[in-house]
Amino acid sequence: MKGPGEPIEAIVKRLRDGAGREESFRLLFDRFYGPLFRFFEHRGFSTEECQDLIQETFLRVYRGIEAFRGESRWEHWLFRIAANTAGKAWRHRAAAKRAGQAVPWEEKDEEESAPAAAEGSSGDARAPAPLRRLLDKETGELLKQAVEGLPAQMRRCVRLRVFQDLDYDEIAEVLQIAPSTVKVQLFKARKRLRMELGRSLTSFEL
Amino acid sequence: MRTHVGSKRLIAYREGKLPPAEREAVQEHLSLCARCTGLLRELRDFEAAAAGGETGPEPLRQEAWESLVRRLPAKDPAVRPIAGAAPREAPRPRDLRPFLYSAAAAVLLAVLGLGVWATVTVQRSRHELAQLERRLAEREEALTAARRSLANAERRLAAARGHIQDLEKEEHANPLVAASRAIAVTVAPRFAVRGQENSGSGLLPGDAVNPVRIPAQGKGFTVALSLADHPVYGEYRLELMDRNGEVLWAGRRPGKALLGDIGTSVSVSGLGPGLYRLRIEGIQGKRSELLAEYRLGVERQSRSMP
Repeated sequence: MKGPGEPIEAIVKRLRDGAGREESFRLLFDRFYGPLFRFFEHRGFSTEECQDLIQETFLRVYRGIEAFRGESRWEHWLFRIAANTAGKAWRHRAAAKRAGQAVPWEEKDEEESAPAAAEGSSGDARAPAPLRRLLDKETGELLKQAVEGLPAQMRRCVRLRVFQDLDYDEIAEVLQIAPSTVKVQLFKARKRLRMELGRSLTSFEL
Repeated sequence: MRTHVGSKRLIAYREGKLPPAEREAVQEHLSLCARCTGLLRELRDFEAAAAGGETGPEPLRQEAWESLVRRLPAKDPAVRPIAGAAPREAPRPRDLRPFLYSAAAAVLLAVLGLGVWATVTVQRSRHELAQLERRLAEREEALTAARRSLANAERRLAAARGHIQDLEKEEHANPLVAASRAIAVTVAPRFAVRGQENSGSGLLPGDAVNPVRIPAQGKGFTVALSLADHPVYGEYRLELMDRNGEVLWAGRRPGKALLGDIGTSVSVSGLGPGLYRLRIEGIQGKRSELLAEYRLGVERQSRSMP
């Protein structure tokens, strides 16, 4: 079954074997142009930059397709290439800025773009709302120390919830556990932390 | 885990391919690192976009494809420019002149270098050959001189041998000389009580009886062997026999004994007057040789004798 509905593995195999490379390469490009555009745009690149980086990514795919041995999923292999391409572009941009050169990409607000790309996400560096409520620095330190004393999985759930502001589903996805497990772990953690921290945690929610 | 997880490891984690310990470490790091958590979320979003068939903005996609095709390696015919895209420029023939000039210059330099090397090598070889020839001539001269010396030495040796032969002939002809080569045995009676010693006279070998006079107050006599001008043996065996050939006394003496560098002696006592035989053998290892045999006529002097 050739065409848009064809399994990715079959298309990649034809590209590697050299049979109908033009057609298979075009199919892969069409399939993954959208995800790649979204990925680069999410990293803070402009539309022109996204166009260029997508081409660069597919050029690397074309040159290195022989290295793909199917040990991981194709889209994961492509994702690694895209992530490396984006990182290289950011390093290039940073070097050009340091050298005082004019850069072709759009200048964005430093606080908005650079940390997002450098950290690999656009909104993770923001201080999470529950943590912002902990205005007292001393209380924050006490909380951190108390979290370190929790069991491993409970501790990770609390960290992702408090310090990275992830919701239950996101925590479950990151830790590859069920959302209900996250919920139970956070419920237990809340009880333990309240017992340990007392009234300091009254305004804090997990 | 202080260092970031990295996309490769994160993908392995996402695909559930990490061993339990490493998986725990990655989870611990993810709970602490917003950057790696963000990368994991990007991976999740990328998967979702691919699964959802997200196509992106259509005009931009077509534009990106056409640009991509133009950037593909020209030598690979697998992906050709699609219809409507700007035709790829035909590759111009490469100007090979700089390469040819460089190659010619390199060859010329190589030839020149080879010539210089060959000249230097030949000159060095000639010089070494001349030195070797000089050394060979010197060795030949030395060999000739050595041969001359050897011939002279051989001549002198032959003359010496002839002279020795002449001397040997003369020696055999002269009985006095022959007698001097025999072992000279002297009997030196001495008075052991006094410790005095008289000079003895030579013994006569063969059947001649050599008188040995023991003083009246003496107990014996001493036989002194002088071995000068004769082969020296490690030991000497002396036997004193009565007239019937019965051994009365026998003993051994080292080659170097009481009489200086060469010689030995034996004291004989307790003998009554009579006729005796003294037999002397030289012993060297297991070999023994009869050197001389003498007849001794022992008599005791009376008190009235001077």
